Formats: sequence, structure tokens, C-alpha cells
Amino acid sequence: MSQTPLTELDFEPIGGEIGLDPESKRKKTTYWKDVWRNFKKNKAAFVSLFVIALLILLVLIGPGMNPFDYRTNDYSVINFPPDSVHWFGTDTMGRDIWTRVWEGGRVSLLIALLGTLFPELIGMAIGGISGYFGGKVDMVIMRMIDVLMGIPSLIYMILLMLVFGSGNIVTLIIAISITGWMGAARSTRGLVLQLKGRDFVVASKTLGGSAGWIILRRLIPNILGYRVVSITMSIPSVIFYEAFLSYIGLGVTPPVPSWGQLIKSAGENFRYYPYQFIIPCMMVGITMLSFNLVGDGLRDALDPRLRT
Amino acid sequence: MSEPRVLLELKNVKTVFKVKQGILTAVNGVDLVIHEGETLGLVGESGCGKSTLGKTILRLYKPSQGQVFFEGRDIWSYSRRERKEYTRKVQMIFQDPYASLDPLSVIGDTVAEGMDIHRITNSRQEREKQIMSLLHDVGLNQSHVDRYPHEFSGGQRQRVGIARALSLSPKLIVCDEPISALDVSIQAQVVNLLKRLQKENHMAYLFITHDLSMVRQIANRIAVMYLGSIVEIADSEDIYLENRHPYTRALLSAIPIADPVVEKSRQRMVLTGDVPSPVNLPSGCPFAGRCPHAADLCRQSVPPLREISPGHFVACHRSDELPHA
Repeated sequence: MSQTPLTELDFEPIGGEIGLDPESKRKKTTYWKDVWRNFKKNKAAFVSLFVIALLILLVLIGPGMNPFDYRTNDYSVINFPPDSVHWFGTDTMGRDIWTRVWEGGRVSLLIALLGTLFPELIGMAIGGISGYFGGKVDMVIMRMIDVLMGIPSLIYMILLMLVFGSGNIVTLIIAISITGWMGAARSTRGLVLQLKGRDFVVASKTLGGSAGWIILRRLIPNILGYRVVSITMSIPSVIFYEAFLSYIGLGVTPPVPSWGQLIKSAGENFRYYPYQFIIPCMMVGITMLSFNLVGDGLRDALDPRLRT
Repeated sequence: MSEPRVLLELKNVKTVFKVKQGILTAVNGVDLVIHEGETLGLVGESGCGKSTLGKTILRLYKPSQGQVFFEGRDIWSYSRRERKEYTRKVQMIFQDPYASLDPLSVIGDTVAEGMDIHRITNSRQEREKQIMSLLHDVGLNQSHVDRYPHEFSGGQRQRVGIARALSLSPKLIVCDEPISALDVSIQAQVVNLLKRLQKENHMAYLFITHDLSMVRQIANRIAVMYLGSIVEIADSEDIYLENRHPYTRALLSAIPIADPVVEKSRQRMVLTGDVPSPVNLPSGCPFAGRCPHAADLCRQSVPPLREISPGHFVACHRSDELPHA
């Protein structure tokens, strides 16, 4: 069988626009739009963000949703299990647990957020300076951190409480910030040391970028992805740290509740009134899980290499 | 033809680093001149101080001795403003196209970084226009402007790096092994691109490489470096045809020849021993330990760089006695 050679006439277009560069159809996006688009793709992270929003909403409006307040004892309703009047039941002094949980959430979430953010910011700034400038600056800062880390943080806490007066949230946040930045500083310094020898940072320098430019535009964005997970991980530990401080009398003072305090006081009666213990524990657990998942999703979304 | 104007001059530049074992001398008293618009090839094996020399010119390392003059001024006597101005005139292209771009920046922003730092463009539209024309100049698709570096191949990334270096219209670009990380077919493309850009923008290149066959395609003059010192410097063709230093000959003899019959039959000059450590340098000629022609004199005194014919300098005591190439 003989074959006839194919000519141009044997081909016909199968539709679609011809001669148009498919690239030109690509929509323009900005960095943050891209981050958001990819964040949404991560279902777990997206749901967690919604849960966090819900928690914040309940913390704001929850205490006002029933007629009880968090501090009035009512000895006629001691240790009631959850029912239609007291939605989460009552505690050993007859206080409404629903109200106390959300009232305590205000304290716990505020401390968790600010007590994580401030030490992180201080740590990043100091660690960034230390790593970037290196040499003697680095030596002095790192030895200072070594010394500060060698002193138990409780000692600062007690001293700060003496100076500022114990029991209010502002003091607690200041105390947590002052004692908590060293870890962040060390980790940031390590990352900066790794990055500053990389060619793209050297390129910034040869283009005339100042130290501030390089730290803000090149180093911090590249570090943030690594730090964001550990930032969200430290939120639950701050919540528990506050609980511990409350336990030894350095946290918020009763009758103002916090999740840590609720867990602590209910722990004594756990065998008889488990709901008093389980409900605040669940709040801490849900918060912890949500922040972790959001952190995870955020890290993936922030890094263009991990985007799909 | 009038004498080309001197753009950059190194006078007895020495760059050292403190290491645990002592003092590491990366660049050991280099004298070098780069003229406006020329390409000076700088060749030598790994660790001979090529990159350090390049970075010393960029003011990334401060020489411990000697001076670097740019347009007649010592670059270490600059004021703060002059320092910033200097970064506009001297730029760098990096070896590793994977490490030299910020993974979090789209290439448009990477290319525009210099313009942003020096506040060159006044409006968004102007910035955009500049980026587009730079991408066009280096042969990149303009619709790639909002893509991230990981979406590109090595050759494309290197083009981004070149566009970034060009963005400030520099007078000198230090190309630190710009092609050694690339595929051979891409190497030629990038070299041709660099040549074309040089013609259009009248820039000078310091082209650092260890690839002798490629440097011939681009360099007007070639300097051969060994253990921190320049051992021979001459016009490109002279280095290949009229070379006088034994080290240059050894390097050239390491270039493989594409014809297998010639390759098999030719006599290669193979060096014995290793490069001495740049920590605590040997006395005398740095090459004496491995040189087949070394005499007592070579082990005792450092040979100066002498001009043996116009523009051809050799640092060898015995260059006159050796047979011609």
C-alpha cells in the first residue's frame, strides 16, 4: 500500500483561538491575593480560621447572652449540671459556667495573642540585629540572652508583679513579653545567619540596599514562613503559662476567671463534676488546634514554592 | 585608536581572612586595570581568589592592603552618598541562579529592586515600563513578570539576574562565573546575550570563570590567577597563542580537544601535587612547588609582574628561558 505525503491542506484547526499566547489570559494577582487563594484551598486551615472567629465572637458576646454574671455566687444552684437555664451548668459556688467560660476566654485569648505577638516582635528585632550585624554586636546580645535565660522567669515575674502590682492583664502581658522573647531571638538569629550569606541577600547589598531594607524586605519575609508555625504553637503554652501563674497567685486574681483558672479549680472536683473541668479544657484544646492548623496553612500559603 | 579610558584600577590589593589556623590570604597583592567598555576575563582554578577579588571590587570585602580606584577615586574613601552612588555604577551577576533570586519575590520585583532602592522611577507606570523593557532586553517573556523564581529554568533565572544587574545602567559588571552552573547549550546563549548587552550599553565586564574555552569568546584581555596572584595577563589571543607562564600552559592544556584523534595523540602538561594552602603562603613564586621549570631563584623570591611585550605581563623568573608556545 502506498502512502501519500501529508500536506497542509490535510490539517484543520480543532477550534479555540489560534495565535493567542495562553500566558496573556493569566489573571494578574498580588502577593496577598495569592496567599489568600491558597490559604482557602487548605480546608482544615480555613475551617480553623472560622472557628477562631467564632470563639472571638462568643468571647465578646457570650457573657451577655444570659442573665447571670461571672462573680455573683448563688448557693441555691451549686454544682448544677448543664441544663436549659445554666447552659454549661454551675460551679461549686453556684456561678454560671457559660458566663465564666467566655469571660475567662477574654483574659486567656488576649494574653495568648498579645503574649505571643509581643515577645515574637521583640525577639525578631533583637535576633535580626544580632544575626545581621554579627561580630561583636552578636557576641554581646547572645551572651546577654544566655544570662537572661539562665535566670528562672519566675523571678522576673515576681519582681515585675511587685513593681507593677499583680493581678491585672497588662502586667501579665508585659511580664510574659519580657521573659519570652529570648527563644524567638535565638531562632531568628539562626535563620538570619543562614540567609545573609545567600546570594539574593548579597545582591540586595550590591544594589545599594541599606541594612533596614535588607532586614525588612529580604530577611523578615523569608523568616516569617519558618516562624509562623512556632508562633501559633506558642499560643497554647502561653495560655497554660497564665494558668500556672494564676495557680501560684501571680495571674489574674479571683473572682476574675481565665481558662487556666477554671481548669485548675475544677480539677479538684473532676471525679464528681467532670463537666466543670471538661468544658474549659475543650476551649483550650479547640483554640490550640485551630491556631496550629491556621499556622500550618499560613506557612504553606506564604511560600510560593509550596503553592499549587 | 585612542587609548581606552581606565575605569577601575587595583593597586597592590590584598584581601585576607582570619581563620582558625592563621591568616588566609585570598588575594595577594593584585595590580589590575579595567578599561571602559572592555571585558577582562579572570581565570584560575577553584579557591584561587577569583571571587574574592570580584567581591573586593564590589566593596563587599575590605582589602587589608592596597587600594581600589574607580574613575580615579579610592572606593574606600567614599562618603555615605558616594557609596550608594557606587552601587549604581558597579553591579554583579552571580554564579548560582538558584540562590541569587529571592524565592518570595516575583521576578518583576526582583528586577526592580535596584530601581526601588535608588528611587529611580517616579510612578508605577514608569516602573512597570522599565521592568518590561529590561525583561525584553534579556530575552524574557514579558508576561512572566509576576511569576516566582521556582517556575523558571536555570538559564531563565540567570537572565533575571542579568536584568537586575542592568537595571541601574552600571559601568562595570562583575560576572562571577555566570555560566558555570548552566547547561552548555544555555552557556552560549547567555554569553551571546552578555556580548550583545555590552555593545548596546557600553559596559565593562570582569568575567570570572574557570572555563577557558568559553572566556575566549567574550574577553578582550585575560588575566590568569594562581593562589591569590595574577601570574599572566595579556590580550585574549596572546594568552592562547603567545602564553609564557607555565601555569597558563598547564591550564590551557587541560582544555579537551573535540577531535578524538588529536586528543589522544597530543602531549598534555599535567601538574603534579596540589595547590598549596592559602593559609600561611609559601615564600617565593606561588607556583614554584608545582612548576616543572622551577629553579632555586623561584623558591626564594616572588617574581614581579613584568611587561614582556606591549600589554602582555608575566610573573615568572624564567619566562625568557622557556621555549615559546
